[in-house]
Amino acid sequence: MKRSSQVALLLLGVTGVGASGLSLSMKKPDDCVAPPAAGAAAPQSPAPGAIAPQTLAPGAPAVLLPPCPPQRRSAWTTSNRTNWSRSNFSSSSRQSGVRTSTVPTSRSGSSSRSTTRSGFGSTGRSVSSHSSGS
Amino acid sequence: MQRVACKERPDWRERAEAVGFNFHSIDGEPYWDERAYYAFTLQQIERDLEAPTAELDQMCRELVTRAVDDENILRRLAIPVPFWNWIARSWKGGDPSLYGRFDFRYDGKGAAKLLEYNADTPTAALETGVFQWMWLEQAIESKLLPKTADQFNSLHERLIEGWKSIGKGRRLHLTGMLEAPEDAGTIAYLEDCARQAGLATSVLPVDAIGKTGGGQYVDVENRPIELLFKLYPWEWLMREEFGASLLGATTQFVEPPWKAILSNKGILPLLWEMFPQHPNLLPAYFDNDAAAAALGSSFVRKPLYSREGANVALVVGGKSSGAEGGPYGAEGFVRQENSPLPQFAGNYVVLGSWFAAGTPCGLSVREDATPITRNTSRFLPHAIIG
Repeated sequence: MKRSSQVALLLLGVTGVGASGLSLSMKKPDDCVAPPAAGAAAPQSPAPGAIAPQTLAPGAPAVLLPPCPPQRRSAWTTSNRTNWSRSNFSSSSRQSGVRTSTVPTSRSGSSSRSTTRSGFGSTGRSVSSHSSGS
Repeated sequence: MQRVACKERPDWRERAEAVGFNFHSIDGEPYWDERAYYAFTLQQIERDLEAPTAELDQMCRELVTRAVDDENILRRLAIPVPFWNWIARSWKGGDPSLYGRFDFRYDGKGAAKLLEYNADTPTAALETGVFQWMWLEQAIESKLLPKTADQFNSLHERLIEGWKSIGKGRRLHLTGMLEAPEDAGTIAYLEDCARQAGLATSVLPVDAIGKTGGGQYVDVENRPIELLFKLYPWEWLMREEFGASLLGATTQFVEPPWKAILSNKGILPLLWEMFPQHPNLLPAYFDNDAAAAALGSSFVRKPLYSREGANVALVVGGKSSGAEGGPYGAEGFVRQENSPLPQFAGNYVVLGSWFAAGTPCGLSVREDATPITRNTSRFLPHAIIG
């Protein structure tokens, strides 16, 4: 959800490793009062990230404001999916398949022992016409 | 909920491939289909899909809590005995889950009904989280949709959030059947989300996973696999040559071992036992349960382990019809009330409601000409309008 008119996502133009720079910029609430939730019997806490209903500071003059139109919850934030791009496929971290049954172990100080492979995957190969996903 | 016919973008295939969505067509037929979209109201999304998704997740967790201490349940689920304690430790130790997808029968009017829970190896994340969203943005831009249109879709953000929480800065290995385009695309997308969460990543085919003499899983460079995302079913891993070594492995798995309980169709009768008459459940029973007679001679028969509709059969008047072929069924079956899928413009529709990082967060819509959703069922975008 939501491409909210209340929430503008500023996507930092980064991709790949470390591209965690999502930043939400909340517009100021309009001059209105959030309506109570339907059927609400008691004041409710706003959902995480939601704009809090208007509250008045002690001593502040009471101002009657019109009710706000229905708002999207900010939990349904929009994001710039262009952050995901095909270029990510070319990551050098990807590894090619190896089906050799035994290769020497070169790390962890266990070079005298062997590493066996192909111990997983047999079912997938036998039902190759079916995705292993769902 | 409405099916709205519209013009497809002439260049949608190129746009799909530009973002890595290469499996947009299957055998020359479109898998991604934007010749129509589904329109929902915000109330339908929030009340009928989002809220039940959160509730079903809680119900499933209650079921796991009960199952790990109940041999009878684990036996009914046909989970191999050697893995019972291991699964229990995974649950009680709090192994985190990244994501899952609940599949619903929903027509926009009554309650959404759970058809199955893809808890272990859900796919369709890329087309849901990325390409569907891009469609929405461009549909608004081209005035196909009003500016106020929205989409039930924060899957992308939740996956990144989930990886941040799970990864804790460790290297993430991802594995699966990389020769399957859909699986490879899903893995590549989840890898990208992990990288955006700050994790270093490596992808390797499932049969390239190595096992040292000490029983540690390693990658092709013999680096220890500390954290492994596997798009490969638990029931397969447990029964393969390396399966026994899972019990002593130091690797943390995503999805975790306790998802072996929830990815089993046996949860459908178990949930019905625990939460009888729940509005989001359909009556369901184990195939060999005398109580299954309550369904009469017409029902849907599903293997305990099955994916993409394989070996699922519609039984009508005692006769099986519409059975999908496949390799599943040896471990047993369940029967579920036949609640026919709604049809829109002659298409059977199933909704997939995503749950990631502890939050309901997205919707995918699949259509098929037959009442059983298969791997070739078309994916249509959706929008919230009104």
